[in-house]
Amino acid sequence: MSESSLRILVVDDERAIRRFLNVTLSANHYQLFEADNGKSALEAVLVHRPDLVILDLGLPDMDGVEVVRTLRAWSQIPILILSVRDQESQKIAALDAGADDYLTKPFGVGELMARMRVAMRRLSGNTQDALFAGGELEVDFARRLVRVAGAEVQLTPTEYDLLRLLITHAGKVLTHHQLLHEVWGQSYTDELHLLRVNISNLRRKLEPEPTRPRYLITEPGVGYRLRV
Amino acid sequence: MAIGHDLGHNAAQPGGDSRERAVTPGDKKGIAPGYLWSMTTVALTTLLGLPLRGHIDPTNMVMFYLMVIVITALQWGRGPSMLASLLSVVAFDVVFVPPYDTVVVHDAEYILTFIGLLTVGFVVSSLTARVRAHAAAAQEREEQAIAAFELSYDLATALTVDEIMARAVHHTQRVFDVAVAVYWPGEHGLSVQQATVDYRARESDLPVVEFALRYRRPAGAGTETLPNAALAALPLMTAAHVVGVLALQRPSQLLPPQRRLLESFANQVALALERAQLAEAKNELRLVQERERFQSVLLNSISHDLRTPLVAITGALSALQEQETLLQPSARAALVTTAHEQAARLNQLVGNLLDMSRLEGGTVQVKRELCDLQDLVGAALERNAPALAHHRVELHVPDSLPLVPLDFVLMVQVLANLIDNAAKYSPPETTIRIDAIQRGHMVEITVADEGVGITPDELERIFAKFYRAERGDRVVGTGLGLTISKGLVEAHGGRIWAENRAGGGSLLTVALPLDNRPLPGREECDERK
Repeated sequence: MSESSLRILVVDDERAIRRFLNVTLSANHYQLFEADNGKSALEAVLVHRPDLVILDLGLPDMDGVEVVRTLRAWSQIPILILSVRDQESQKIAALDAGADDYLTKPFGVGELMARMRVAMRRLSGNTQDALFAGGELEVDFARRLVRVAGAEVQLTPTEYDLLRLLITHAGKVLTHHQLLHEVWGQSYTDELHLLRVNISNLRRKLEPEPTRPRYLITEPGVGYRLRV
Repeated sequence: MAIGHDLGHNAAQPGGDSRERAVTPGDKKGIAPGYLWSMTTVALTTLLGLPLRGHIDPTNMVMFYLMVIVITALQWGRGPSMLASLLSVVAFDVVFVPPYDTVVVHDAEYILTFIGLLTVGFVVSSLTARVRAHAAAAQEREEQAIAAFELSYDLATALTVDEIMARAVHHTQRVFDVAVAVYWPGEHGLSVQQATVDYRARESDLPVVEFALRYRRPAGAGTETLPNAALAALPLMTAAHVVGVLALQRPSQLLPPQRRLLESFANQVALALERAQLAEAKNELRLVQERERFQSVLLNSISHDLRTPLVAITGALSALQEQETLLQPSARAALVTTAHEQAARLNQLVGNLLDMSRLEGGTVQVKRELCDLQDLVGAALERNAPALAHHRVELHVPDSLPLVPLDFVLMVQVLANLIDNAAKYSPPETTIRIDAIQRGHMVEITVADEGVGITPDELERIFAKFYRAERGDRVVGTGLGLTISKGLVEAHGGRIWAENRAGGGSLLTVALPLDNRPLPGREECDERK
């Protein structure tokens, strides 16, 4: 009872959705704040200093992407965006602008909690552990060693960088743009086939069934995610 | 029948007058041979009769000469036969009437014979010539009637306005031997709609054609209006209105029967055109009515589909709200599960309807990029993970496949739909098999299941809107999935079809082109490398 609960800001102009999130998250011991438009959301971040923002992209006064951009100018606060199925480009823009992850409406509580946990993990301790273990995949960053089911796997430098980036953001989606930018550099952000080929190679080396990946998940139209 | 009035034709005349004679068959062969013939046959008859001279009464020869005159009249017409008459008298006189070899006669009775022969010759010539002319006129009338009948028959079997006009110009050219065109009023005035290949349309023709249209009277060559024009224009009109103009280029001088035939043509064509127009209008009306009826059926169907899940959701939630204390935890859990499932179904239906409406509105944008098929299949399987929980999945997507240009998000949807169907329509514990192979410049992705298969007549219909295969117990799904898949695949320039597997079950194939050919239709193609 005395543990300070994490503070969540919910930004959505639909009262029903705010209510649903409020009820659910409160029941999970989060402290809730609400805003129903972009401007008041930005103010609420300043005033209430939440640990996470759940932001709907379809706001009445501002483009959700604009809100993300503005926030990111002075805050690294984790942002989860709520998008609608047919708004792919807006979703990608928000992620590229700095949002951490997304949920497609309608979504369930389970999904929501999972994404929230991942987005807020950065807050607790080291983001970059020396060792990563997930399923049968083990990566020792200190020694640049990758093992699957105990057997060592050889990766090219590019493949290794790509894997490391995904592990660093384990559980979170990374857009094509972000991946290309981080691993290859600014001028390669349109070279999608590079990314696809390397992901394909990684899958063949790491996945027991490359065509049904367990770790390296495709987010169609958006990017990739390392599943944890 | 509406007929033009100022062509100067007379009522049908009873046989030969000087104008009609001009077209009798004899003239076509030329005049000179006829006269030559007369002279030759008279001479021949005279020579043949020579041996009989002195043995028979000379008057008998008159019969033979008369025969020659009649035959000449029948074959060659009045002129030659009159010449034959004259020559016969002279020959008779000189050769057969004593004294021989002179024109003079001793017996005055023979003068009567001469006069008789000449007169009869002339009369026979005239009468025979008239008979000939009658026959010729009758034959021409028959030809015209046949021409009119053929046109009528051909027009009766033509279905569209264009066909009618085409046949009209064809027949008119055949009969009148001129270049023909039909002018049709359009937004920018009259223009040639159909014409024979040798028709040369000129700007200077337009005033003539327009006159015919506006004043509903023939104009141009052979009429009182603009008679120096190089074409003759006839309005195509029925009692109600003028539909167009029939134009003949450089028509030769037309005689009254031909004029009548031409007008008859024009009238028939006009009637046929009006009939075709009315038929087209009726058809359109029927289509509109069909469409409206179909749309109202559709609306009912959609309304039902949208409401049905809501019934379950509202029911479940209201029970939970109002009857909470009465319900066991297990009952409450069941209600919640039902509401959740039905909400998912409703969500899917809404998504499908939106997809369908976007496909039909042409706003789907296909953004192609080179994609890995393994990636695609994996993403589709991921999406259907819960539905596939009770099935075995076998994959044959070789590493060696090239990258395929496609819109990843859209094709994942297609594959996910096929996989979902396979899972829905095959029993648990059966295998779903996905293959991908390259065939020439296409790549084929197949989804096979071990269910009951698809009846042959359904193989095409399953792609129709709102078609739900009859599977007895439950009706699952929206009936739109395959329709949307088909629309999306075809937007990629690909094909999708269904077959039955040899060992039972269905096989759905998606074929996509490997090259970057232009995409069909209105969808945009934004190609990144």
